Amino acid sequence: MSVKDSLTNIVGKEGISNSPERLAAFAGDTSLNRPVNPNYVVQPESAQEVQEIIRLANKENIPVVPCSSGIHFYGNTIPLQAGIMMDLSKINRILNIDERNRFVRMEPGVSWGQLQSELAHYDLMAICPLLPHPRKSALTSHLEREPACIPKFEYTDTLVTMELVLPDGELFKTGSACVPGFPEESLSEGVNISGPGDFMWPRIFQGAQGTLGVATWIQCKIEYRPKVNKTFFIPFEELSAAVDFVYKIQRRLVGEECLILNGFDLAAILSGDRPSDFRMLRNNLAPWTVVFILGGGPRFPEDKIAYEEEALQEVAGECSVPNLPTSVPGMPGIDKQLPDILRTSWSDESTYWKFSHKGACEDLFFRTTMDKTPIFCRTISELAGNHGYRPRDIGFYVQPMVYGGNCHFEANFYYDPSDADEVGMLRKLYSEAAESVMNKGGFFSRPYGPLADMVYRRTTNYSAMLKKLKKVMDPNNVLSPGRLCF
Amino acid sequence: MTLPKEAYEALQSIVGPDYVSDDPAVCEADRPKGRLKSKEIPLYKPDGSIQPVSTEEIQAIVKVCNRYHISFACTSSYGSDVWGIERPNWLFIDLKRMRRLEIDENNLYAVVESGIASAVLQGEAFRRNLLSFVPMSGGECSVLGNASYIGEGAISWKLGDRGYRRILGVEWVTPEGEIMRLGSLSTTDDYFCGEGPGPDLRGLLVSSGYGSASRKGIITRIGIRLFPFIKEKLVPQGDAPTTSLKMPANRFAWYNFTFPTRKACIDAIYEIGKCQLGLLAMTVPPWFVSMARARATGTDKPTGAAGFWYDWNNIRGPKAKENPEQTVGRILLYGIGSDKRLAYEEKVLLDICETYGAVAKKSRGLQDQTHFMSADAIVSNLAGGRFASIIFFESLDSALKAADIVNEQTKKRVPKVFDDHGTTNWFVPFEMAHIAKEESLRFTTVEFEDELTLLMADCHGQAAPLGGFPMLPNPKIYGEVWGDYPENDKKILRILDPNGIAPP
Amino acid sequence: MFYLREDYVFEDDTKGESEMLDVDEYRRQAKLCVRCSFCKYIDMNWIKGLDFARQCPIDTKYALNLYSAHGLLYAASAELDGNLTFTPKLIDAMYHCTLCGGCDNRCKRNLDIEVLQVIETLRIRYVEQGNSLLPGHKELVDNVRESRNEYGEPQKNRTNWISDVKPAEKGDVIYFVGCNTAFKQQELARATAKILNETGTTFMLLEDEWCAGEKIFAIGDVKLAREMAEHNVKAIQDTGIERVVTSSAECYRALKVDYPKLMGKSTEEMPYAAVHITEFTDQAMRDGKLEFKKELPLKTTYHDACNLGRLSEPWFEWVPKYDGSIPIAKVWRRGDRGIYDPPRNVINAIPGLELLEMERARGNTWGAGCTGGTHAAFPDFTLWTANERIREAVATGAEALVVCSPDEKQVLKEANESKKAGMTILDFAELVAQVI
Repeated sequence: MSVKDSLTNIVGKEGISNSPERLAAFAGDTSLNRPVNPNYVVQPESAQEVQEIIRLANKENIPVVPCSSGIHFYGNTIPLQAGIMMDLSKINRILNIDERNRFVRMEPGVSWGQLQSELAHYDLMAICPLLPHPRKSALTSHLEREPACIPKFEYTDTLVTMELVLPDGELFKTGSACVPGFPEESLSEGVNISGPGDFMWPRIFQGAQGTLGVATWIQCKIEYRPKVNKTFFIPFEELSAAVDFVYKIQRRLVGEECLILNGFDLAAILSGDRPSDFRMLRNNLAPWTVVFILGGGPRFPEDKIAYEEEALQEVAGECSVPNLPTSVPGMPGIDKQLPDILRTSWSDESTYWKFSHKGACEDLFFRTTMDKTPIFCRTISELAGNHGYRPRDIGFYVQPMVYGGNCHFEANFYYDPSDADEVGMLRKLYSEAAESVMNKGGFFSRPYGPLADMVYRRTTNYSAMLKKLKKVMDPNNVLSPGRLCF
Repeated sequence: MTLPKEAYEALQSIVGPDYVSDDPAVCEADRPKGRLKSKEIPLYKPDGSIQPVSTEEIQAIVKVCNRYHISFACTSSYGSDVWGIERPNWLFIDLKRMRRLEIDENNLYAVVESGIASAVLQGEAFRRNLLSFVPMSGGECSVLGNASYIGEGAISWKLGDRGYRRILGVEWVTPEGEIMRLGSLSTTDDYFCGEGPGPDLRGLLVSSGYGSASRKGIITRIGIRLFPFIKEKLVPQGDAPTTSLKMPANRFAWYNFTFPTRKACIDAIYEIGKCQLGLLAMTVPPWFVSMARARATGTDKPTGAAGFWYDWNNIRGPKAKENPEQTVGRILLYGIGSDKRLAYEEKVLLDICETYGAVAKKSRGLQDQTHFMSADAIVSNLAGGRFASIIFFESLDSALKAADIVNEQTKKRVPKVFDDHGTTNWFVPFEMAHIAKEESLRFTTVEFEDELTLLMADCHGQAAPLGGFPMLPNPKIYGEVWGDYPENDKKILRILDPNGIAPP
Repeated sequence: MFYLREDYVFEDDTKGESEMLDVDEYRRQAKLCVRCSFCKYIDMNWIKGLDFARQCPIDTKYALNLYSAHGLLYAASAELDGNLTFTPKLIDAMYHCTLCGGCDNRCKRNLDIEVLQVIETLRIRYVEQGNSLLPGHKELVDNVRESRNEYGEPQKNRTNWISDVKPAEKGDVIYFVGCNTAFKQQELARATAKILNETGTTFMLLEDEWCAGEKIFAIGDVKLAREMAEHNVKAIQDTGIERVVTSSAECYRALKVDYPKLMGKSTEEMPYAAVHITEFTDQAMRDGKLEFKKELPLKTTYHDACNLGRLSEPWFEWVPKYDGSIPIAKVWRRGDRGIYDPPRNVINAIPGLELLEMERARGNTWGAGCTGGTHAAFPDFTLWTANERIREAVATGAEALVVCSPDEKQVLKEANESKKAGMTILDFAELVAQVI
């Protein structure tokens, strides 16, 4: 029986395609990475079908590349050695909302919009990265350790238990979800991340970019969604001053969302697809803005906001910040809208903020400490200038993490994907910028595409250990071969 | 058995003659007794003891062990005697000489080596208006050792359920003798980030409490999170055994709240977690009060173990027997960041208590004996000489079910094991009630220590379906409940330790 | 009441021996250790950082766990069970221990294990088994046996310190001078005499004061220690005076704790009450009998001698009897009732003097390394221990260090010089004598 026939037996005729259009749709993504066509695209509808596909892949020695979002950004779903593209978007149920323990269990095809709107009915929310694309899978964000906009320590390590199909096709549930019969016939509630054994498996699967297992559901923490909020847009001329402010306000353990955006990124976000708004904002916004949202609690929300605002005023005094604006010129009411905007995905795919300006955006992101961000900002800007990319057109986003203990630093290079020269220039700039960041101590905790080569060349023992792990778990190297250091 | 002569000489050349010994007294002093392991499992004392001072020395030692096929096990603080080695011919690697400690105040982390005790890091953190984490097992526990093993404590309510939440970059020597650097340490000299690159190999290191923590090798240095804290100082006062930290009244308030039933208390704790109040919250079993009275001095009542039993048998115990369901919760409200925060927390707490039918009482004294520095960790041994913690980590609701199972099993072993009338289950919620620990402390005398081991086994077996995998579970008991864990774990252990050197 | 069975008793504990010598009590205590390692640190709540968190000198200096309370307790347990002999390392570790009592104090915060008594008894067993003493200990023991003082000097020289203030034929109190003060630091005796005199208290000396024997007992030679005790107690009794004042913390501890222990009595049953000069001065100050006329502008810190602090609580004689695991009618000595406040009260009352506390103070004190007979056998280790203390004293910013033990003054002075720390080391009596 041919591979196609075997796959058809598993997912049905509607669930498989190898038409050129369909293959092309999964060959590449919005990144600069070169596309590679898969051989087939399949859409399983259950964990059991996923298992059967992977067993078949092992039997036929054909790669399998899982994906769940309808859109991809960093090259981590490009089928580098062709094979079976396994699109999990049809496995898209929210399986359980546990209000009491504050967890949600969801499948890979659940988008952020779907998740947050469902949770909002319970006054709950999952902890969201910055304005994910409407089709972005919430499960993937958790698996990929995307940074959240709320830098509370309590809101990190949100993923606790998961169910995966391992590279040999076996189903594996982690943590206290491993109890037989979980969840329906088990007393366990699946909230304990560590199972009975020696290892903390969710950690190993996170950041693996589909090379060590395919998640069929995850259970993650959710929190109360504040109903009463107050938003501040605090302007700064220098990034260092913004960083100093954030260091201090985070020490007070107040606030919900806290992020630093440069003028370009904030303008792109606030203007959507309206060029006139974008121009107006580019002229009016300060070089840097700390977006800071206070959120009330379930009881006496105004009291919480009042004392937190007082703390904010004190910090402003310490930093000689003259005022704390709650508005943006030319954008009336944005302060009331922004909390809801930030607590879900971008609403309209056609106006997605990263694509509206020039059609595409290449992100260079890494981890560092906040005090070093001005150095990286300068370095990247200088390199950009050397390559003919206007530094003023780079978007910068600094996401403090864990009370400002370190941060996610992101440079957004907006470009026209149809301009071959610009694409070529950007590839060189990107590579050089990444190398320079690494030399200056930036850490690529999530190395995608060619960055992975750069990173793993320097790690030696880390990549050697990963390879040993991969060899044991996936001896036939069927899951996403060629990814990371595999 | 003795170590091979050539191996011993090699070890001497690595650390110098002062820091390695095979003297029988040294080996006897280092013998782990495996107190709560089943007596059916034979345990062995080490054939030698060595104290390296650097990662490179440890690497060299481990390579010698691999060459001469000598097992090893290590400890950082020797804060416990519940582990034991089940094979002969092994070397005890004591990491206490590794005492590097650096703090990055701005970026809220410290770099610590194995020999740094949790209370020491806390002291240094306090100097800088920062807060570190001290586990319930005691302030003397190694920061690194404890965080990579369990790492739970009173302040896990706010600072993460267990140590894995706080570990950043890691330096680790594998059982084969490779030096691994994880997180940001893999490509920089910094410890600020623990994840990646790519898959997070810290997942290979953090244990769930089964077996010896050295079985994956030896962690030598970690970055560990610190947290913002108040400017005001906690002032030590008193002479042992009644020392405490005096807390500033504008930043802290202790509240007790009494509920008619355990469930009502748990319901309220869930709500308190949702409102994100406080620095710690838990229930207070009545025997805690008896234990606190046991250490009070300057009174005419008995103290020590006699004091505990006096208080329990005459005061706390009869009350508990009359009304075993009545449950006292305790919370430390935390006014960090704003002078008005404490008032807000109090207002919300009282509102919750009213909703759930509790009587809330603010404590007069504002001091802490045990939560910040964990000075009282091993007091549980006082009552009879031996105790066992039967612990489950799952949801708070599961904790209640686990408690019922433990109480049922305990009844079968009374009076060899302390009869607490079903009231000494201790519910310690973590992470704002996302997850919780149920800990039942069971006492007995040295003579009946085996009863505790058997009781633990019974409880683990009965409560296995709850999934709250506790410390020291015997794999024979869990069997199928473990799903694929044993097989998957074995595969990975073979990668890490192909020569079978690390302890089983 | 929780216990095992109504008639349960631990093996062989009906013979009625004092707990110090009762083998089964010794076994029980040694086996109670849970190896928590609290014995290595000062009280957790008092830890302020990396520098001064450690309590135990041998654990701090030597890496092996044998060199710690829990190591010694495990070794003691093994030796008792016949699984271990007195190896060179065990002897070395056991006698390096300064018996400062830090571990005992720490353990009793939570567990009430008689840690110090186990280590003392381990040494007694070593000596009683006929093992050779270490050279420094042998010399000390021979001196005391032959000359009745630590130095082997003629006993008649014991009173050479007497100067302006002379003892009475019959006094209000006995002044027990002690070997170090009498033979090596006579200025301390003169200062003490001055204080007594200033309060209008007449003092007498024992006709034939023998070495108090604190170090002899610490080494484990119970027989000789008992001989010294019986002689001195009789000499005291013969005077009819019931108060014995001393300015030596070692002699104070011997008189108050070791003597009743050796004689199978409680402190309150002894025919005298031991009073340290710090207690005496504090009381005199409160009674209005002593006035500090001179100002002394000085930043000073105070070193709590182990023998005056945590080791000085009255001895309570107890024959081990248990109700299951609960000791019956035992009075606990946990170190919180040591002499901590009297010296501080006096220092704080002296005009101009500013007291800056060390981190390891009161029950958390770091001993100077001269207790336990350690100095005689391992002078280098004692110097190291004292150096640590000087380092800590310097860290307070103080110019002077006040001590209340001639042994400790001697070693701390040596350490001060070896470190070139530039501090002034003052005995308490000297300090007070300066300002009255």
